Amino acid sequence: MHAMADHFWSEIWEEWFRPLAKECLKTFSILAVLYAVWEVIALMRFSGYPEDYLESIEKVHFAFMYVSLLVLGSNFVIKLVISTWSVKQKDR
Amino acid sequence: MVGQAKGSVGFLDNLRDFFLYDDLWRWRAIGWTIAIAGAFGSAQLVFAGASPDDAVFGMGMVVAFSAIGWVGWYCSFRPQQSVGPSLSRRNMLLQLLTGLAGASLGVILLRFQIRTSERILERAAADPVEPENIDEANGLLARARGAQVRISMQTLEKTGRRFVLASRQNPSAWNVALGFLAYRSSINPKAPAGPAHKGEPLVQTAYDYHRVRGTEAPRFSVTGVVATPSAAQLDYIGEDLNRNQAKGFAYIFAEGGSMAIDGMHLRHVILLGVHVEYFGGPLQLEDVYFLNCDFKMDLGRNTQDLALAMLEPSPATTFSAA
Repeated sequence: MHAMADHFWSEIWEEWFRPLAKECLKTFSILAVLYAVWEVIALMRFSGYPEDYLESIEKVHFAFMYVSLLVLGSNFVIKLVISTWSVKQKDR
Repeated sequence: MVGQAKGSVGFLDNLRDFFLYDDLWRWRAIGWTIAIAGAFGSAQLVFAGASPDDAVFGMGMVVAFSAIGWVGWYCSFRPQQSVGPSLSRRNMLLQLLTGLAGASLGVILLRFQIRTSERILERAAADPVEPENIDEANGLLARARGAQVRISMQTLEKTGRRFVLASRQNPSAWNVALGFLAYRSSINPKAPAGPAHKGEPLVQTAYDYHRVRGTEAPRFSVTGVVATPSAAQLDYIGEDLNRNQAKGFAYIFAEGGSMAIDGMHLRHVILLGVHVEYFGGPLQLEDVYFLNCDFKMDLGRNTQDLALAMLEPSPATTFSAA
C-alpha cells in the first residue's frame, strides 16, 4: 500500500509537476519581459515622447504580447492534454 | 495494413515526445513561432495600417500554420539526436532570474512614475499661484493621464485642493483644478454593476436632463431593479417623473456625449466619458460616479465646492448646492 502511494506520488512528480514547473518558469520569464517593456512604453509616454512614435511601439508590443499569450497558453493546454493521455496510456 | 499501424504509432510517439520530453525542439518551435507571427502582426499594424481585428486574425493564422508545420516536420522527420538535452538547474535558475528581473523592472518603473508625479505635484502645490507651477502641474496631469499613472488619492486630494483654493487669488489656477478633476475621473475605480434584474417585472421609468446645444447626447442604459426610495434618479431638482412607480432602476449609466448638470438632481448615476458642463447653479448629486469624464466649469463658489467634493478619495461624489 505504502509502495503504491510512493509510486503514485513519484509519477505525479515526474509526469506532471516537474514538466509543468519548467513550463511555468519559461512562460513566467517571457511574460515578465513583456510586462517590463509595457512599463518602459508607459515611462516613455510619461517622459513626453511623441505620441505617433509611441503608438507604433505599442502596436509592436501588442502583436508580440498577443502571439506570446496565444502560443504559450496553447502550449500549456496541449502539454497538459498530452501528459494526461500519456499517463492513461501507461496505466493500460 | 501492418505498415500503416506502425507508422501511426511512430507519429504519436513522436508527438508525445515533442510535447512532453523534447524541450529543446519544442521551445525552438515556440520561439520561432512568436518571432515570425509577432513580426507579421507588427508589420500589419504599423506599416499596412490593418485594424486590430484583421491583425489578430492574421497572427492567429500564422501561429496555426507555423504550429502545424513544426509538429508535422518533427513527427515525420524527427531529428536524429532523439530527445534534446533536459533543462539544467543552471538554465532554470537563469530563467527564474530573468523573469524576476523583468517583473521587478516593470514594478520599479511603475513606482518611479508614480513617485515622480507625486513629487512634482507636491512641489507645484507648495505655491499654486505661481504661473510656472501652474504650467508644470497642468503638463504633468496631462502626461500622467496619457500614461495612466495612478497617483495616490491622498496626494491628489491634498495638492488638488490647494489649486482649487488658489484659484480665488489667481484664476489661472482654475484650469489646473479642472485638470485635476479630469485626471481624478480617469483613474476612478470601476463603478458598481448594480443588482441583476433577472425575472423581475418590466419597469417603466422616465428621466430628464439638460442637453448641451450643438453636441451629442449621452447614450443611456439602466441596471438592477430596486424599490423606488433607493432607485436611481436623473431629473430636475424638485421633480420626479417616477414618483408613482413602486420600483425603479438601481443605476443609470450615461456614456459619451455631453450633459449640463445645473439645476439637476442625480442619484446613483454613472457618467462614463461624458463631457460635463456646470456653471454654478443649484445641484444635487448623490452617489454619482464620474469615470473618464472631462469638465467645463466656470470659476465660482459652487463650482469650487463641487471640485473639492470630487477630489475626495471616495469613488462616488455626493454634493449639494443651492
